[in-house]
Amino acid sequence: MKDVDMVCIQCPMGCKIKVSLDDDEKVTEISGYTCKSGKDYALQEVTDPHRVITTSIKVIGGNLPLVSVKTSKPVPKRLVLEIMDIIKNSQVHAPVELNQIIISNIAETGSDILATKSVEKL
Amino acid sequence: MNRLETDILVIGAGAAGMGAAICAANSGVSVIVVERNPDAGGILNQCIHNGFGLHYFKKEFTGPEFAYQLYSKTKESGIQFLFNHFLLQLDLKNKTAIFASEEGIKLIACKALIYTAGARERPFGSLLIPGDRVSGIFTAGVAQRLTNIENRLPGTKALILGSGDIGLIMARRLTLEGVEVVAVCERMPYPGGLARNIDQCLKDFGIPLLLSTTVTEVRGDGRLREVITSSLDENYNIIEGTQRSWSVDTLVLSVGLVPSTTPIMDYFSIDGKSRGVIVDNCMRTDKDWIFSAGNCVIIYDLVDYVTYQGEMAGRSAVNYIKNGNNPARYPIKKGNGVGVINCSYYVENSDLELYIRVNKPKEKAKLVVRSDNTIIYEGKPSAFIPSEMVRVKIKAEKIDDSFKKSSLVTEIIDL
Repeated sequence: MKDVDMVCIQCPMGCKIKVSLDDDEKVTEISGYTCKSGKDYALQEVTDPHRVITTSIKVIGGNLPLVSVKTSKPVPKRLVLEIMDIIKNSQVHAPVELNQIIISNIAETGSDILATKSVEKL
Repeated sequence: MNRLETDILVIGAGAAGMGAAICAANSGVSVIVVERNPDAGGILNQCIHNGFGLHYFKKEFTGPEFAYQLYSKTKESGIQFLFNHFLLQLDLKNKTAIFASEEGIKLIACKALIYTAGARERPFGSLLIPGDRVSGIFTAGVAQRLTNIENRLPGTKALILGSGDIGLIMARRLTLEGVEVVAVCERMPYPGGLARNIDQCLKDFGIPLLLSTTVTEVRGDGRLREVITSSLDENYNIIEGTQRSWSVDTLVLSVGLVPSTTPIMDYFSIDGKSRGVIVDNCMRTDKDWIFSAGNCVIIYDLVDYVTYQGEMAGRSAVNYIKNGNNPARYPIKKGNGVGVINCSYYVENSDLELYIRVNKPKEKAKLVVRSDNTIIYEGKPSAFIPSEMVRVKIKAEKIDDSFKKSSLVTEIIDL
Protein backbone atom coordinates (compact mmCIF):
# COMPACT_ATOMS: atom_id res chain seq x y z
CA MET A 1 0.00 0.00 0.00
CA LYS A 2 1.28 3.42 -0.99
CA ASP A 3 -0.24 6.87 -1.53
CA VAL A 4 1.15 9.23 -4.15
CA ASP A 5 0.31 12.93 -3.74
CA MET A 6 0.51 15.21 -6.75
CA VAL A 7 -0.60 18.57 -8.05
CA CYS A 8 -2.48 18.33 -11.33
CA ILE A 9 -0.75 20.29 -14.11
CA GLN A 10 -3.59 20.11 -16.63
CA CYS A 11 -4.84 23.64 -15.88
CA PRO A 12 -4.01 26.51 -13.50
CA MET A 13 -6.52 25.26 -10.89
CA GLY A 14 -3.78 23.03 -9.45
CA CYS A 15 -6.01 20.35 -7.88
CA LYS A 16 -4.30 18.22 -5.23
CA ILE A 17 -4.77 14.60 -6.24
CA LYS A 18 -4.03 11.47 -4.21
CA VAL A 19 -3.50 8.12 -5.92
CA SER A 20 -3.52 4.98 -3.79
CA LEU A 21 -1.54 1.98 -5.00
CA ASP A 22 -1.56 -1.57 -3.66
CA ASP A 23 1.57 -3.69 -3.10
CA ASP A 24 1.64 -4.67 -6.79
CA GLU A 25 1.65 -0.95 -7.77
CA LYS A 26 -1.95 -1.31 -9.02
CA VAL A 27 -4.13 1.79 -8.62
CA THR A 28 -6.83 1.23 -6.04
CA GLU A 29 -8.21 4.75 -5.66
CA ILE A 30 -7.84 8.23 -7.12
CA SER A 31 -9.23 11.21 -5.18
CA GLY A 32 -9.07 15.00 -5.24
CA TYR A 33 -9.50 15.50 -8.98
CA THR A 34 -12.29 17.77 -10.22
CA CYS A 35 -12.48 16.78 -13.91
CA LYS A 36 -11.87 13.80 -16.18
CA SER A 37 -8.67 15.29 -17.50
CA GLY A 38 -7.35 15.42 -13.93
CA LYS A 39 -8.19 11.76 -13.31
CA ASP A 40 -6.49 10.72 -16.56
CA TYR A 41 -3.45 12.82 -15.66
CA ALA A 42 -3.16 11.18 -12.23
CA LEU A 43 -3.37 7.69 -13.70
CA GLN A 44 -0.76 8.50 -16.35
CA GLU A 45 1.46 10.17 -13.75
CA VAL A 46 1.80 7.02 -11.60
CA THR A 47 2.32 4.71 -14.59
CA ASP A 48 4.41 6.65 -17.13
CA PRO A 49 4.40 10.45 -16.68
CA HIS A 50 3.96 12.46 -19.89
CA ARG A 51 4.67 16.13 -20.64
CA VAL A 52 4.07 18.54 -23.48
CA ILE A 53 7.43 20.06 -24.47
CA THR A 54 7.48 23.68 -25.55
CA THR A 55 10.75 25.00 -26.93
CA SER A 56 12.13 26.62 -30.07
CA ILE A 57 13.96 25.60 -33.26
CA LYS A 58 16.53 27.53 -35.22
CA VAL A 59 15.21 29.21 -38.38
CA ILE A 60 17.38 29.84 -41.43
CA GLY A 61 16.63 32.96 -43.48
CA GLY A 62 13.71 34.18 -41.35
CA ASN A 63 12.79 37.57 -39.91
CA LEU A 64 13.38 35.94 -36.51
CA PRO A 65 16.23 33.55 -35.54
CA LEU A 66 13.89 31.08 -33.80
CA VAL A 67 10.42 29.63 -34.17
CA SER A 68 8.57 28.48 -31.06
CA VAL A 69 7.38 24.86 -31.19
CA LYS A 70 5.50 22.27 -29.12
CA THR A 71 4.90 18.54 -29.17
CA SER A 72 1.50 17.79 -30.73
CA LYS A 73 0.64 15.68 -27.66
CA PRO A 74 2.31 14.83 -24.36
CA VAL A 75 5.44 12.70 -24.65
CA PRO A 76 6.95 10.39 -21.99
CA LYS A 77 8.85 12.44 -19.42
CA ARG A 78 11.77 10.02 -19.59
CA LEU A 79 12.32 11.06 -23.24
CA VAL A 80 12.27 14.84 -22.68
CA LEU A 81 16.04 15.35 -22.74
CA GLU A 82 16.49 13.01 -25.70
CA ILE A 83 13.84 14.97 -27.63
CA MET A 84 15.49 18.27 -26.68
CA ASP A 85 18.75 16.95 -28.16
CA ILE A 86 17.06 16.14 -31.47
CA ILE A 87 15.45 19.61 -31.53
CA LYS A 88 18.74 21.35 -30.69
CA ASN A 89 20.37 19.71 -33.70
CA SER A 90 17.52 20.61 -36.06
CA GLN A 91 16.76 23.68 -38.13
CA VAL A 92 14.04 24.83 -40.47
CA HIS A 93 14.04 27.17 -43.47
CA ALA A 94 11.76 30.22 -43.51
CA PRO A 95 8.94 30.79 -44.15
CA VAL A 96 7.41 28.77 -41.32
CA GLU A 97 3.64 28.57 -40.95
CA LEU A 98 1.73 28.26 -37.67
CA ASN A 99 0.99 24.55 -37.01
CA GLN A 100 3.55 23.44 -39.61
CA ILE A 101 5.01 20.01 -38.77
CA ILE A 102 8.73 20.57 -38.34
CA ILE A 103 9.72 17.08 -37.14
CA SER A 104 7.22 14.24 -37.43
CA ASN A 105 6.99 11.33 -35.00
CA ILE A 106 9.82 12.63 -32.85
CA ALA A 107 11.78 9.87 -31.06
CA GLU A 108 9.15 7.36 -32.23
CA THR A 109 6.63 8.85 -29.76
CA GLY A 110 3.86 9.38 -32.30
CA SER A 111 4.05 13.09 -31.45
CA ASP A 112 5.02 15.74 -33.99
CA ILE A 113 6.93 18.95 -33.39
CA LEU A 114 4.59 21.78 -34.47
CA ALA A 115 5.36 25.46 -35.01
CA THR A 116 3.36 27.62 -32.58
CA LYS A 117 3.86 30.78 -34.63
CA SER A 118 4.75 31.84 -38.17
CA VAL A 119 8.12 33.22 -39.20
CA GLU A 120 8.37 35.18 -42.43
CA LYS A 121 11.12 34.79 -44.98
CA LEU A 122 13.53 37.71 -45.04
CA MET B 1 2.07 66.84 -38.80
CA ASN B 2 0.22 63.58 -39.31
CA ARG B 3 -3.29 63.65 -37.87
CA LEU B 4 -5.76 60.77 -37.55
CA GLU B 5 -9.23 60.45 -36.09
CA THR B 6 -11.00 57.47 -34.58
CA ASP B 7 -13.88 56.68 -32.23
CA ILE B 8 -11.75 54.56 -29.92
CA LEU B 9 -8.00 54.66 -29.52
CA VAL B 10 -6.34 51.69 -27.79
CA ILE B 11 -2.78 52.05 -26.51
CA GLY B 12 -1.06 48.65 -26.39
CA ALA B 13 -1.73 45.57 -28.54
CA GLY B 14 -1.35 42.89 -25.87
CA ALA B 15 -4.18 40.68 -24.68
CA ALA B 16 -6.06 43.50 -22.88
CA GLY B 17 -5.75 45.89 -25.83
CA MET B 18 -6.84 43.32 -28.39
CA GLY B 19 -9.73 42.19 -26.17
CA ALA B 20 -10.85 45.82 -25.86
CA ALA B 21 -10.43 46.52 -29.57
CA ILE B 22 -12.38 43.42 -30.69
CA CYS B 23 -15.24 44.17 -28.32
CA ALA B 24 -15.44 47.82 -29.40
CA ALA B 25 -15.10 47.17 -33.14
CA ASN B 26 -17.85 44.53 -33.00
CA SER B 27 -20.22 47.28 -31.79
CA GLY B 28 -19.63 49.19 -35.01
CA VAL B 29 -17.32 51.96 -33.86
CA SER B 30 -13.96 52.72 -35.48
CA VAL B 31 -10.89 51.53 -33.59
CA ILE B 32 -7.17 52.26 -33.90
CA VAL B 33 -4.70 50.20 -31.84
CA VAL B 34 -1.27 51.72 -31.31
CA GLU B 35 1.64 49.46 -30.33
CA ARG B 36 5.30 50.25 -29.69
CA ASN B 37 6.48 46.79 -30.85
CA PRO B 38 6.52 45.69 -34.50
CA ASP B 39 3.81 43.08 -33.82
CA ALA B 40 0.73 42.38 -31.70
CA GLY B 41 0.60 40.10 -28.66
CA GLY B 42 2.78 41.90 -26.15
CA ILE B 43 4.48 39.61 -23.66
CA LEU B 44 2.59 36.56 -25.00
CA ASN B 45 5.07 36.33 -27.89
CA GLN B 46 7.94 35.36 -25.64
CA CYS B 47 5.86 33.09 -23.35
CA ILE B 48 6.30 30.02 -25.58
CA HIS B 49 5.11 27.60 -22.87
CA ASN B 50 1.56 26.28 -22.79
CA GLY B 51 -1.29 26.75 -20.33
CA PHE B 52 -2.96 29.81 -21.83
CA GLY B 53 -6.59 30.13 -22.89
CA LEU B 54 -8.30 27.38 -20.89
CA HIS B 55 -10.94 29.87 -19.68
CA TYR B 56 -11.21 32.23 -22.63
CA PHE B 57 -10.91 29.81 -25.56
CA LYS B 58 -11.75 26.61 -23.60
CA LYS B 59 -8.60 25.23 -25.20
CA GLU B 60 -4.96 25.15 -24.22
CA PHE B 61 -2.58 27.34 -26.20
CA THR B 62 1.02 28.52 -25.97
CA GLY B 63 1.54 32.29 -25.63
CA PRO B 64 2.21 32.93 -29.35
CA GLU B 65 -0.84 30.80 -30.27
CA PHE B 66 -3.07 32.75 -27.87
CA ALA B 67 -1.79 36.01 -29.38
CA TYR B 68 -2.45 34.69 -32.89
CA GLN B 69 -6.01 33.68 -32.00
CA LEU B 70 -6.80 37.17 -30.69
CA TYR B 71 -5.03 38.88 -33.57
CA SER B 72 -7.06 36.83 -36.08
CA LYS B 73 -10.24 38.07 -34.42
CA THR B 74 -9.08 41.68 -34.81
CA LYS B 75 -8.57 41.07 -38.55
CA GLU B 76 -12.22 40.02 -38.88
CA SER B 77 -13.30 43.23 -37.11
CA GLY B 78 -11.57 45.79 -39.33
CA ILE B 79 -9.37 47.21 -36.60
CA GLN B 80 -6.49 49.42 -37.72
CA PHE B 81 -3.09 48.71 -36.12
CA LEU B 82 -0.21 51.17 -35.97
CA PHE B 83 2.98 49.35 -34.98
CA ASN B 84 6.30 50.91 -33.91
CA HIS B 85 4.44 53.85 -32.38
CA PHE B 86 5.35 55.15 -28.94
CA LEU B 87 3.10 57.32 -26.75
CA LEU B 88 4.66 60.70 -25.98
CA GLN B 89 1.84 62.59 -24.32
CA LEU B 90 -1.89 63.11 -24.03
CA ASP B 91 -3.81 66.30 -24.73
CA LEU B 92 -6.73 65.87 -22.34
CA LYS B 93 -8.57 69.02 -23.49
CA ASN B 94 -8.68 67.95 -27.14
CA LYS B 95 -8.90 64.21 -26.44
CA THR B 96 -5.80 63.64 -28.52
CA ALA B 97 -2.79 61.37 -28.04
CA ILE B 98 0.61 62.21 -29.50
CA PHE B 99 2.93 59.46 -30.71
CA ALA B 100 6.47 59.14 -32.04
CA SER B 101 6.74 56.92 -35.11
CA GLU B 102 9.10 56.25 -38.00
CA GLU B 103 6.97 58.63 -40.10
CA GLY B 104 7.41 61.35 -37.50
CA ILE B 105 5.14 62.76 -34.83
CA LYS B 106 1.52 61.62 -35.12
CA LEU B 107 -1.61 63.04 -33.51
CA ILE B 108 -4.61 60.79 -32.99
CA ALA B 109 -7.89 62.37 -31.91
CA CYS B 110 -10.48 60.06 -30.35
CA LYS B 111 -13.79 60.02 -28.50
CA ALA B 112 -12.59 57.48 -25.95
CA LEU B 113 -9.16 56.17 -25.01
CA ILE B 114 -8.28 52.73 -23.65
CA TYR B 115 -4.90 52.41 -21.96
CA THR B 116 -3.62 48.81 -21.95
CA ALA B 117 0.14 49.11 -21.59
CA GLY B 118 0.81 46.04 -19.42
CA ALA B 119 3.56 45.87 -16.84
CA ARG B 120 7.31 46.18 -16.38
CA GLU B 121 9.58 43.95 -14.34
CA ARG B 122 10.87 45.14 -11.00
CA PRO B 123 14.56 45.82 -11.70
CA PHE B 124 17.71 44.62 -9.89
CA GLY B 125 18.44 48.18 -8.75
CA SER B 126 15.28 48.27 -6.64
CA LEU B 127 16.43 45.28 -4.52
CA LEU B 128 19.42 47.08 -2.96
CA ILE B 129 21.57 43.93 -2.98
CA PRO B 130 25.15 44.74 -1.93
CA GLY B 131 28.21 43.67 -3.89
CA ASP B 132 29.75 44.19 -7.31
CA ARG B 133 27.85 45.66 -10.22
CA VAL B 134 28.48 42.98 -12.82
CA SER B 135 26.97 41.57 -16.00
CA GLY B 136 25.10 38.28 -15.79
CA ILE B 137 22.15 39.60 -13.77
CA PHE B 138 18.88 39.48 -15.71
CA THR B 139 15.23 39.95 -14.97
CA ALA B 140 13.31 36.78 -15.86
CA GLY B 141 11.52 38.46 -18.77
CA VAL B 142 14.78 39.62 -20.30
CA ALA B 143 16.30 36.13 -19.89
CA GLN B 144 13.12 34.76 -21.48
CA ARG B 145 13.33 37.15 -24.41
CA LEU B 146 17.01 36.36 -25.01
CA THR B 147 16.37 32.60 -24.88
CA ASN B 148 13.05 32.37 -26.72
CA ILE B 149 13.18 35.17 -29.29
CA GLU B 150 16.80 36.18 -29.84
CA ASN B 151 18.50 32.74 -29.65
CA ARG B 152 21.02 33.86 -27.04
CA LEU B 153 21.53 32.02 -23.75
CA PRO B 154 22.03 34.28 -20.74
CA GLY B 155 24.78 32.07 -19.20
CA THR B 156 25.86 28.55 -18.24
CA LYS B 157 25.04 28.19 -14.53
CA ALA B 158 22.20 30.12 -12.93
CA LEU B 159 20.51 30.85 -9.64
CA ILE B 160 16.96 32.19 -9.74
CA LEU B 161 15.66 34.65 -7.17
CA GLY B 162 11.88 34.70 -6.81
CA SER B 163 9.45 31.83 -7.23
CA GLY B 164 6.79 33.68 -9.20
CA ASP B 165 5.52 31.86 -12.27
CA ILE B 166 7.99 33.56 -14.61
CA GLY B 167 10.89 32.44 -12.39
CA LEU B 168 9.63 28.85 -12.31
CA ILE B 169 8.99 28.77 -16.07
CA MET B 170 12.50 30.14 -16.69
CA ALA B 171 14.03 27.49 -14.37
CA ARG B 172 12.60 24.81 -16.67
CA ARG B 173 13.33 26.69 -19.87
CA LEU B 174 17.00 27.31 -19.03
CA THR B 175 17.41 23.69 -17.88
CA LEU B 176 16.01 22.40 -21.18
CA GLU B 177 18.45 24.64 -23.04
CA GLY B 178 21.40 23.20 -21.12
CA VAL B 179 21.90 25.86 -18.43
CA GLU B 180 22.49 24.36 -14.98
CA VAL B 181 19.93 25.89 -12.60
CA VAL B 182 21.31 25.40 -9.08
CA ALA B 183 18.30 26.65 -7.08
CA VAL B 184 15.26 28.89 -6.95
CA CYS B 185 15.24 31.12 -3.85
CA GLU B 186 12.12 32.73 -2.40
CA ARG B 187 12.17 35.26 0.44
CA MET B 188 8.61 34.43 1.50
CA PRO B 189 7.92 31.25 3.51
CA TYR B 190 5.65 30.01 0.67
CA PRO B 191 6.12 29.82 -3.11
CA GLY B 192 5.02 32.73 -5.28
CA GLY B 193 3.92 30.74 -8.32
CA LEU B 194 1.16 28.29 -9.14
CA ALA B 195 1.41 24.81 -7.59
CA ARG B 196 1.41 23.22 -11.05
CA ASN B 197 4.50 25.17 -12.00
CA ILE B 198 6.39 24.06 -8.87
CA ASP B 199 5.62 20.51 -9.96
CA GLN B 200 6.35 20.58 -13.66
CA CYS B 201 9.15 23.18 -13.69
CA LEU B 202 11.14 22.37 -10.55
CA LYS B 203 10.28 18.84 -9.33
CA ASP B 204 10.50 17.37 -12.84
CA PHE B 205 14.14 18.49 -13.04
CA GLY B 206 15.14 18.14 -9.39
CA ILE B 207 15.71 21.89 -8.97
CA PRO B 208 15.65 22.82 -5.25
CA LEU B 209 13.22 25.50 -4.03
CA LEU B 210 14.67 27.33 -1.01
CA LEU B 211 11.95 29.19 0.90
CA SER B 212 12.63 32.06 3.35
CA THR B 213 15.90 32.56 1.49
CA THR B 214 17.17 35.56 -0.44
CA VAL B 215 20.25 36.83 -2.23
CA THR B 216 22.34 39.00 0.09
CA GLU B 217 25.43 39.64 -2.02
CA VAL B 218 26.63 39.40 -5.63
CA ARG B 219 30.32 39.07 -6.46
CA GLY B 220 32.33 39.13 -9.67
CA ASP B 221 34.83 40.99 -11.78
CA GLY B 222 33.07 42.21 -14.90
CA ARG B 223 30.91 39.05 -14.99
CA LEU B 224 28.99 37.54 -12.08
CA ARG B 225 31.03 34.80 -10.38
CA GLU B 226 29.43 34.23 -6.98
CA VAL B 227 26.03 34.73 -5.36
CA ILE B 228 25.60 34.65 -1.58
CA THR B 229 22.20 33.64 -0.19
CA SER B 230 20.96 33.83 3.40
CA SER B 231 17.98 32.48 5.29
CA LEU B 232 15.40 34.91 6.65
CA ASP B 233 13.44 34.82 9.89
CA GLU B 234 9.68 35.43 10.10
CA ASN B 235 10.26 39.21 10.01
CA TYR B 236 12.41 38.89 6.88
CA ASN B 237 15.59 39.69 8.77
CA ILE B 238 18.77 37.88 7.74
CA ILE B 239 19.70 35.01 10.09
CA GLU B 240 23.45 35.35 10.70
CA GLY B 241 25.49 32.26 9.97
CA THR B 242 23.16 30.96 7.23
CA GLN B 243 25.18 32.45 4.36
CA ARG B 244 25.69 30.09 1.48
CA SER B 245 27.93 30.65 -1.52
CA TRP B 246 26.92 29.63 -5.04
CA SER B 247 29.39 29.83 -7.90
CA VAL B 248 27.19 30.87 -10.82
CA ASP B 249 27.63 33.20 -13.78
CA THR B 250 23.95 34.10 -14.02
CA LEU B 251 21.35 35.46 -11.61
CA VAL B 252 17.76 35.56 -12.86
CA LEU B 253 15.34 37.80 -10.99
CA SER B 254 11.65 37.00 -10.85
CA VAL B 255 10.79 39.54 -8.20
CA GLY B 256 7.54 40.97 -9.37
CA LEU B 257 5.86 43.11 -11.98
CA VAL B 258 4.92 46.76 -11.70
CA PRO B 259 2.06 48.24 -13.76
CA SER B 260 3.46 50.32 -16.60
CA THR B 261 1.94 53.71 -15.88
CA THR B 262 4.84 56.14 -16.10
CA PRO B 263 3.73 57.70 -19.44
CA ILE B 264 0.24 58.52 -18.13
CA MET B 265 0.68 59.22 -14.42
CA ASP B 266 0.29 62.97 -15.01
CA TYR B 267 -3.08 62.51 -16.70
CA PHE B 268 -5.15 60.13 -14.59
CA SER B 269 -4.93 58.64 -11.12
CA ILE B 270 -2.74 55.71 -10.25
CA ASP B 271 -2.43 53.88 -6.95
CA GLY B 272 0.53 55.29 -5.03
CA LYS B 273 1.50 51.90 -3.68
CA SER B 274 0.86 49.41 -6.51
CA ARG B 275 1.30 52.02 -9.29
CA GLY B 276 -1.72 50.52 -11.09
CA VAL B 277 -4.32 52.68 -12.84
CA ILE B 278 -7.29 53.31 -10.53
CA VAL B 279 -10.47 52.12 -12.25
CA ASP B 280 -14.07 51.21 -11.44
CA ASN B 281 -15.63 47.86 -12.30
CA CYS B 282 -16.40 49.17 -15.82
CA MET B 283 -12.65 49.87 -16.18
CA ARG B 284 -13.14 53.63 -16.28
CA THR B 285 -10.38 55.85 -14.87
CA ASP B 286 -11.03 59.16 -13.13
CA LYS B 287 -11.37 60.77 -16.59
CA ASP B 288 -14.79 59.94 -18.03
CA TRP B 289 -13.46 59.19 -21.54
CA ILE B 290 -10.41 57.15 -20.51
CA PHE B 291 -10.54 53.45 -19.69
CA SER B 292 -7.80 51.00 -18.71
CA ALA B 293 -7.40 47.24 -18.32
CA GLY B 294 -4.91 44.43 -17.90
CA ASN B 295 -1.60 44.39 -16.06
CA CYS B 296 -1.36 48.19 -16.02
CA VAL B 297 -4.29 48.07 -13.54
CA ILE B 298 -3.27 45.12 -11.38
CA ILE B 299 -1.02 42.13 -12.05
CA TYR B 300 -3.22 39.20 -13.11
CA ASP B 301 -2.43 35.47 -12.96
CA LEU B 302 -3.97 34.52 -16.25
CA VAL B 303 -4.03 36.14 -19.67
CA ASP B 304 -7.64 34.95 -19.90
CA TYR B 305 -8.56 37.34 -17.07
CA VAL B 306 -6.63 40.15 -18.75
CA THR B 307 -8.57 39.56 -21.97
CA TYR B 308 -11.94 39.58 -20.15
CA GLN B 309 -11.06 42.87 -18.47
CA GLY B 310 -9.95 44.31 -21.81
CA GLU B 311 -13.34 43.37 -23.24
CA MET B 312 -15.03 45.12 -20.34
CA ALA B 313 -13.03 48.29 -21.08
CA GLY B 314 -14.03 48.03 -24.76
CA ARG B 315 -17.74 47.65 -23.91
CA SER B 316 -17.64 50.55 -21.45
CA ALA B 317 -15.88 52.82 -23.93
CA VAL B 318 -18.53 52.10 -26.58
CA ASN B 319 -21.27 52.70 -24.04
CA TYR B 320 -19.69 56.06 -23.19
CA ILE B 321 -19.46 57.11 -26.85
CA LYS B 322 -23.02 56.04 -27.63
CA ASN B 323 -24.74 57.24 -24.45
CA GLY B 324 -22.26 59.71 -23.02
CA ASN B 325 -23.22 58.70 -19.53
CA ASN B 326 -21.07 58.97 -16.47
CA PRO B 327 -22.97 57.08 -13.76
CA ALA B 328 -22.26 57.51 -10.06
CA ARG B 329 -19.64 55.23 -8.54
CA TYR B 330 -18.90 54.17 -4.99
CA PRO B 331 -15.69 52.99 -3.32
CA ILE B 332 -14.82 49.32 -2.91
CA LYS B 333 -12.63 48.83 0.14
CA LYS B 334 -10.07 46.17 0.92
CA GLY B 335 -10.98 44.51 4.21
CA ASN B 336 -9.06 41.96 6.25
CA GLY B 337 -7.00 39.47 4.28
CA VAL B 338 -7.37 41.14 0.87
CA GLY B 339 -4.02 41.99 -0.74
CA VAL B 340 -4.91 43.09 -4.25
CA ILE B 341 -8.25 43.83 -5.86
CA ASN B 342 -8.93 44.73 -9.50
CA CYS B 343 -11.19 47.71 -9.06
CA SER B 344 -11.48 50.55 -6.60
CA TYR B 345 -15.04 51.68 -7.40
CA TYR B 346 -18.42 50.14 -8.13
CA VAL B 347 -20.71 51.73 -10.73
CA GLU B 348 -24.32 51.51 -9.63
CA ASN B 349 -26.66 49.12 -11.47
CA SER B 350 -23.82 47.17 -13.05
CA ASP B 351 -22.69 43.58 -12.64
CA LEU B 352 -19.62 43.35 -10.47
CA GLU B 353 -16.64 41.20 -11.46
CA LEU B 354 -13.89 41.07 -8.84
CA TYR B 355 -10.38 39.63 -9.04
CA ILE B 356 -8.88 39.29 -5.59
CA ARG B 357 -5.51 38.17 -4.29
CA VAL B 358 -5.22 37.34 -0.57
CA ASN B 359 -2.34 38.94 1.37
CA LYS B 360 -1.20 35.66 2.96
CA PRO B 361 -2.07 31.96 2.70
CA LYS B 362 -5.26 30.79 4.43
CA GLU B 363 -5.93 27.13 5.24
CA LYS B 364 -9.69 27.55 5.38
CA ALA B 365 -11.51 30.79 4.86
CA LYS B 366 -14.28 32.39 2.84
CA LEU B 367 -14.55 35.49 0.74
CA VAL B 368 -17.29 37.93 1.71
CA VAL B 369 -18.48 41.10 -0.02
CA ARG B 370 -20.67 43.33 2.14
CA SER B 371 -21.98 46.83 2.52
CA ASP B 372 -22.31 47.85 6.12
CA ASN B 373 -23.72 44.70 7.62
CA THR B 374 -25.57 43.44 4.56
CA ILE B 375 -23.80 40.48 3.03
CA ILE B 376 -23.92 40.73 -0.77
CA TYR B 377 -21.77 37.76 -1.62
CA GLU B 378 -20.43 34.85 0.36
CA GLY B 379 -18.04 32.36 -1.23
CA LYS B 380 -17.67 28.68 -0.43
CA PRO B 381 -15.13 27.83 2.29
CA SER B 382 -11.78 26.99 0.73
CA ALA B 383 -8.03 27.43 0.97
CA PHE B 384 -6.51 30.64 -0.41
CA ILE B 385 -2.95 31.41 -1.46
CA PRO B 386 -1.60 34.76 -2.71
CA SER B 387 -0.35 33.26 -5.99
CA GLU B 388 -3.84 32.19 -7.06
CA MET B 389 -6.37 34.92 -7.77
CA VAL B 390 -10.01 34.45 -6.95
CA ARG B 391 -12.55 35.57 -9.53
CA VAL B 392 -16.06 36.48 -8.36
CA LYS B 393 -19.04 37.59 -10.43
CA ILE B 394 -22.00 39.28 -8.72
CA LYS B 395 -25.17 40.26 -10.60
CA ALA B 396 -26.34 43.87 -10.29
CA GLU B 397 -29.71 42.84 -8.76
CA LYS B 398 -27.91 41.08 -5.89
CA ILE B 399 -26.26 44.31 -4.84
CA ASP B 400 -28.29 46.07 -2.17
CA ASP B 401 -28.41 49.88 -2.34
CA SER B 402 -26.99 50.25 1.16
CA PHE B 403 -23.46 50.60 -0.28
CA LYS B 404 -24.37 54.16 -1.27
CA LYS B 405 -24.38 55.20 2.37
CA SER B 406 -21.13 53.45 3.28
CA SER B 407 -19.11 51.47 0.76
CA LEU B 408 -18.58 47.96 -0.49
CA VAL B 409 -16.08 45.98 1.55
CA THR B 410 -14.33 42.77 0.46
CA GLU B 411 -12.79 40.56 3.10
CA ILE B 412 -11.42 37.12 3.74
CA ILE B 413 -12.89 35.60 6.90
CA ASP B 414 -10.95 32.82 8.62
CA LEU B 415 -12.96 29.74 9.50
